[in-house]
Amino acid sequence: MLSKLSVKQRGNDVKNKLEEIRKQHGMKQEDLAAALEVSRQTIGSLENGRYNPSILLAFKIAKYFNLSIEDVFIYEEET
Amino acid sequence: MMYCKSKKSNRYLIGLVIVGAISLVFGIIGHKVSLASTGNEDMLLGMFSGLGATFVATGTIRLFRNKFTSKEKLKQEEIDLKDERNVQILRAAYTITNVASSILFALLAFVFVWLNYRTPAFIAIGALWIQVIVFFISYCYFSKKM
Repeated sequence: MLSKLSVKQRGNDVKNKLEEIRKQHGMKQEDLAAALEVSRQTIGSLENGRYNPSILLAFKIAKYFNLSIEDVFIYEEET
Repeated sequence: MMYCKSKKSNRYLIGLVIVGAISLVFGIIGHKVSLASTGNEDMLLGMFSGLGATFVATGTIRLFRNKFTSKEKLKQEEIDLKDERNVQILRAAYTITNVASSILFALLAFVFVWLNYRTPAFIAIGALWIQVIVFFISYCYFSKKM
């Protein structure tokens, strides 16, 4: 199901599906921010692709949704 | 718990109030017993008083605020403070500020030399060297830590 989700471009070569996953879980940005103990703006920036999370936050996000990091974040090498 | 960090910050605020009070008392007593014999020394004591008063006021207001603000709001403030994106924004802003101050010190050094203000020129050049030394020391420190 996740593979059908649209992905957000993050920088040059990393994409994420955070917005889609969050909406699937029926969560607001505020709820996810509170659960992950980050600011709402951080969630917004992640979803908009303006900010790359640390590996720690990436793990926290993936663990929170019971997914692997690769399910949420996709790294694509430039060709 | 995150709220414990707020309690820890209260200790720093108490320290700030104590340091401020010492500086304030030093400035006032120094002025009263006429430690200052010249105008600039009098101004220096005034600066001690002003700095002390600022520390005392800031520390006291923050302590009262911490005491009467709800735990939820304090926790949210700590989340915002420690939020990794905010930390990165702060670091980027500090970096730009540091570059700007380096350029400013260099410009000031040239201007002071041009105006034949030797002492301020040496102070500006000294400040530049201190920046370089602090950068080198902190770079070595964090290189060993990471």
